[in-house]
Amino acid sequence: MKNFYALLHHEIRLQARQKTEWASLLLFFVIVIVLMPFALGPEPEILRRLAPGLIWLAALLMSLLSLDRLFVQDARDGTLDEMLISPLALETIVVAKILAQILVMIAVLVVMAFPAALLLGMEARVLPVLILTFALGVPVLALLGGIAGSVTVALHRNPALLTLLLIPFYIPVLIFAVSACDAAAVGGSAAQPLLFLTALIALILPPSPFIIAAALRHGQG
Amino acid sequence: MLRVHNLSCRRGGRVIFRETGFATNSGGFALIMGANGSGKSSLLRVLAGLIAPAAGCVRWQDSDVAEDPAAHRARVHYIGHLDALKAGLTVREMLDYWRALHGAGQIKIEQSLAAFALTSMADRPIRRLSAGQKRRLSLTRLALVEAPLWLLDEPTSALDVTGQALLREVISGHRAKGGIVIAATHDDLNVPDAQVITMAGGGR
Repeated sequence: MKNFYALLHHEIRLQARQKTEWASLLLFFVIVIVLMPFALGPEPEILRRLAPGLIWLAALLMSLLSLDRLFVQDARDGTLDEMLISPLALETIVVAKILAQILVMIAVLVVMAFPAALLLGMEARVLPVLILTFALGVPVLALLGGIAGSVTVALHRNPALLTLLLIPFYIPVLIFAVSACDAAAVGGSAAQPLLFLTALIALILPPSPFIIAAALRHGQG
Repeated sequence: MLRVHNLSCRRGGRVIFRETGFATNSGGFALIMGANGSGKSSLLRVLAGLIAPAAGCVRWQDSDVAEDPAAHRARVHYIGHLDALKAGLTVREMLDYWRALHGAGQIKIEQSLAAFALTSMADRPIRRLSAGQKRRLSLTRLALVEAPLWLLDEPTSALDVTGQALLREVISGHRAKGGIVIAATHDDLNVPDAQVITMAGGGR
C-alpha cells in the first residue's frame, strides 16, 4: 500500500508538471465553449438549455485529446520497460497511473465548469449535478482510454486510431451524464441516469486493470 | 549463475536469433557483440523477461526463470537504450519514482547520486540536463537498488570519458559482490576478462 501511494503521488506530480500540455487542453475546452454561442446563435434560452450537453461535449473531446499520455508516452520514453521489470504487480502500477489521471481530470473539469456554466447561462441548480456527473463519468472515460491506450501500444499503432475505437464506448457516458443534468434543469430527479453512470463504473472498473496489464505485457512479444 | 540454453527469438514472424547458448558465473561480465540487427537488444529483452523466447530457456541457479517471473523481475536491472526519464521531474523526484517502483529493498539515493557524480544536480529538472547527464541519471538505477543481474543495452552511449569511468567503477563494484553483468556495447568498456558472446543473427 505504501508503494501504491508513492506511485500515485509520483503520477499526480507528473501530471502537475505537464503544465503546457494541460494549458493547451484547457485552451481547447475554453475555445469550444466560447465558440458555441457563435455557432448556435446568441439566444440565451437555447444556450441555457444546451449548456450541460455542450460542456460535456467539450470535456469529452478534451479527454480524447489527452489519452495518448497514459501509456503511449511511457512506451515511447522507455518508462514502460521499467514498469514491466518492476517487482510490483503491473496492475498496481496501472491503477495508480489511471487514478492520478482521473483525479487531475476531475479537478480540472470542476474548476472549468464554473466559467463555462456562467458563459452559457446555465442554471445554478444544475451545477452540482454537472459536477457529480464529472465525478462519475470521468473514471469511465479514463478506464476506457487506458484500455484503448494499452491496446494501441501492444499493436504498435497510431494513437489516432484509438480515438475512433473509443467514440462508441464514450456515447453512453455522454447520454447518461447529459440526461442527469437535463433532469436537474427541469427540477426533476437525476437519480436514474446517475445510477446508470455508477453502473458503468461498476462494469468497467474490475476487469480493466487486468485487461490493460495483459495488453502491455503482450505488446512486448 | 546464469545459463542460457538454445535460446531462439522470433518477433513478428521473423527469426531474430536462434540457438544461442552461454553461461556466466557469479562476478562474470558477458559482452554481447554483433552487427546492427543481429539481435543483441532482443537477447537482452528476453533475458530480462520482457519478451518470451520462441525456444530454449534461461536458467538462474538451475531454475528456469519462466517458472517464477516475479522473482526474476526482482533480480534484474534492465537499462535499455531509452533513458526512461520524465523531462518535467527533477533528478531526485525521478529517483523517488524508481524507489517506489522497485518496492522495498535497500535504497541509497545519496550514494547512487554520488556514484554517478549527480549530487550537485539533484534538484535540477531533467529537461535541463545534457544527453550524457541524462544517461548517467538513467544508469543511477543500478546503484539505487540491489539486483544481482544487470542487463545493459548500449550503456555507454552519450557518456563522456568520465561517465564511462564512473560506470566501470560501479560495474566492478557489482562484480566484486558476485553480481553478473551482461552488456551489449560497441566499445568494450575496458573489461579485460570479459566473456565475448557473438550474435550471428537469425540467418534468414
